[in-house]
Amino acid sequence: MTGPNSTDLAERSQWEQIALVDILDRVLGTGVVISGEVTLSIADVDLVHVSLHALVSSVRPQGPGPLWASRP
Amino acid sequence: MMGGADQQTGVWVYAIGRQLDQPAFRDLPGVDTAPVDLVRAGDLAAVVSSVDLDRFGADELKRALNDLDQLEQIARAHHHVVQVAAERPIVPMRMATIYDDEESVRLMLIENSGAFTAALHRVEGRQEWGVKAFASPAASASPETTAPVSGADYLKRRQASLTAADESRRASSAEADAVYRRLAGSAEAARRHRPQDPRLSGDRRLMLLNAAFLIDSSAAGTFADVVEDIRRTHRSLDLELTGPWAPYSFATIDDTVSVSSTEEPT
Amino acid sequence: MTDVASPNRFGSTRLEIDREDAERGLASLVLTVVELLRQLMERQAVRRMEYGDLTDDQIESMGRTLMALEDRMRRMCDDFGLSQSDLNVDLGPLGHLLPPTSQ
Repeated sequence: MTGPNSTDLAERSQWEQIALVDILDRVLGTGVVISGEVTLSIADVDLVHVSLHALVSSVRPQGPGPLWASRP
Repeated sequence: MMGGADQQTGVWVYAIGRQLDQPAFRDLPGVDTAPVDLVRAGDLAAVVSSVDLDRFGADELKRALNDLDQLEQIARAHHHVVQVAAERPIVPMRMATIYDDEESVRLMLIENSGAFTAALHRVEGRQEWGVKAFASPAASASPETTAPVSGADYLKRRQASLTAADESRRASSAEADAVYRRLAGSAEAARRHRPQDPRLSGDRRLMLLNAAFLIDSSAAGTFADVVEDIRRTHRSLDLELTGPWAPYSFATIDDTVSVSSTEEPT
Repeated sequence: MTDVASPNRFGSTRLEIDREDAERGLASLVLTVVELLRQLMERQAVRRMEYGDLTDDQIESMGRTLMALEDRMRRMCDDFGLSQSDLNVDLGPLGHLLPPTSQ
């Protein structure tokens, strides 16, 4: 069975409305980064320049979070 | 053979695994028009697809990733491949990791085979589950029915509401920390992510916790029970459970640590 | 936008409507900054009051000023058709100027 009611987890991940924010937390903020023969990696793609249209927070962990949410 | 400067294509890597089967990826679309394939080196395999550098070269990709619609399309396509691959133990790559050609990918696998093998061992038989906690829209303090009678009265009222707000924030934060510690105790590994941007999530509630937990697949039910128990005992929090995810948040390899390998976001 | 100054049936031109949007955008920006300063001043005033080195008259005067400021702020927002949640400054990576559930 394919589609939104699929019992196959991978299928569901495509059809189910998994929140984009949850996906972005993972595909942008985690995962292996290996330098070397890489043509391009996410670190090169300067996402710190947050386009107001893109609305994506900085992926660099050293980058600042929202002012009021910074932990003491 | 994929990639190569003369061909104007690159090789996008989704994940690394061991003894992956080609059939699982047959006809699976990638982030670009080319289908997903495998690049093998020893008993490791990289899940890849060819990307056209006209659209996935540095400048073009940067533009695309700063367009929310294109970002969403690419992110979901990347994620879908990773989730399919996660039927077997895999280590997800950071999105938008592109190599010159197949040979470069092979070299990368060989050079890091020890680290990948160790990382795969850590995630074998395990899944990632996400828990987010929000401050429940509080029963707001009853609005003032009378106007301040003096300047001093106005200030006193402000003082009271500021103190209450600060106290509330402190208590919520402490509560979220306690919830995190309890959940971490029920998991093989735990990690916090930074709070999600409300402009992106469209959620106006205050996010107090955004965490990922690595759970033995067989223990997923028990973990869900713990979450349910926390829901019952922490009424001032709204908890959301997501998963199972491929082990994104726990994809670190030894010395070549991923940029986001720290437990807590700074 | 091909016909920049074509009048619609209400007499106002399309250019004017865009200018209204621009004014509202600018007003929102300015008022957010003012609101931030107002909130900071109130916090500072409360701290001063708590510190205990002010006379009753000084506290009263400070309170009245802030009360008037809050009232003025509310009326300015009304004038521009802006609500509390409309006010905010998006600083990109730094998040918003005002907290999400302000106060």
